[in-house]
Amino acid sequence: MGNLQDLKVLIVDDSITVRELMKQQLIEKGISQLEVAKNGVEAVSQFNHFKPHLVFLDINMPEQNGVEALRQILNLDKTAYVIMLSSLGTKEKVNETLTLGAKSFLMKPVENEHLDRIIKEVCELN
Amino acid sequence: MSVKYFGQYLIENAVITREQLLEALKIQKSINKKIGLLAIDKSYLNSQQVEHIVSLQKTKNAQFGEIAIELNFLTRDQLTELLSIQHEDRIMLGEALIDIGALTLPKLESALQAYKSEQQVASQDIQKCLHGLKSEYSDFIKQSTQITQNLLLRLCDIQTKISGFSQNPGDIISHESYFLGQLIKGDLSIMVGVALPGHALAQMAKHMMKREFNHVDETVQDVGKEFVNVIVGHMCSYLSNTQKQVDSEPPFCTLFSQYKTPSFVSVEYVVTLLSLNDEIAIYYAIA
Repeated sequence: MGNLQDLKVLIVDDSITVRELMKQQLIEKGISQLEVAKNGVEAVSQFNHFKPHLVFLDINMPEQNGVEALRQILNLDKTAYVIMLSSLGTKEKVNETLTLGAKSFLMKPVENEHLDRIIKEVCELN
Repeated sequence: MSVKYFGQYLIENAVITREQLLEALKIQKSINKKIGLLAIDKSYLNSQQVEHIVSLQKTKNAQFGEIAIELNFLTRDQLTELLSIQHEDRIMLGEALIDIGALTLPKLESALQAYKSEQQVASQDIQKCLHGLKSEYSDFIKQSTQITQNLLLRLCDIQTKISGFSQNPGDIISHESYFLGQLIKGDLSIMVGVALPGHALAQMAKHMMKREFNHVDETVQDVGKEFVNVIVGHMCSYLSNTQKQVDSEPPFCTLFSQYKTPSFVSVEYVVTLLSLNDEIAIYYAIA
């Protein structure tokens, strides 16, 4: 994918702060096709309709957490490119989500250089 | 007695006005060049390298020059040369205040002397309080306080210095302050909190979200919760690296008057941080 405007990104976090900050970061990079969800249930539904190339998925959320949402998203599309987000960077959490099929794990707040790396990888894949 | 910036000391003792301080700080900022800029001027570094070092600096709590050497961007000789240029060209706050006519040299000298002796007493007070802590908890408090200061700088552009230490939160934290708290549970049970005035919380939200907030609404509270969540996340990683099994409960935001100390708590500690405009308290409650 040569054009960032074609890249579709879904941000899932129960915190409006994280959703807005990540949106700002991605818009500044030239990505305009963005959708947000605030829990795991919304995430799975948005994934189904929006069909994003990249998903940023928080682990700790009410109603349905990120780990369960990750399972369901990968059931819908086993090639889904999901990056887990958490402020709690314990080894257990990282290993659990990576084993399930998440592509990577980022600590919040997400550093710009990590975002750049991930966007580049997704663009190369598509 | 508390630790404070020289400029603040001068205002509190009516030696200068706030407007004069702001004018002098502006002059200082325009004259004093940072090492990164000096290194670009000398073509030792390019702007990408400077940006990379600055981003690392905010999380590593290390000096710019030390990181540059560690990354092999600068040699030790180049750094020494840059530091020497920086030292020769820089203007101190007192000099800037004299330049704008806010102080005379004799007035500056006597104010500096009084400030230094007051600060010496204040810093001894803090050392005494930290000395009484168990090492497991004092390490946690030192680490967490440092992380909080780094995050205040990195996410909110608020520079702080430790100004006091107390075991009586009620004496230090105003009941009208907002309290951002989150409980760490597991091998260690610690409530971590940050208390700050509503306008400071709104400022924090404005800086992070890049839009205006006139009062503490739901979004501002969410920013506060996310802020403490990041501190606690870092501390859980830190504890996990020391072989402690820990988890955390969701963060909360409330008025300090409505905060109830959890029943497991036996001791409470507060570290006060001084920023240019406000006092921010970091709260720890330990089993």
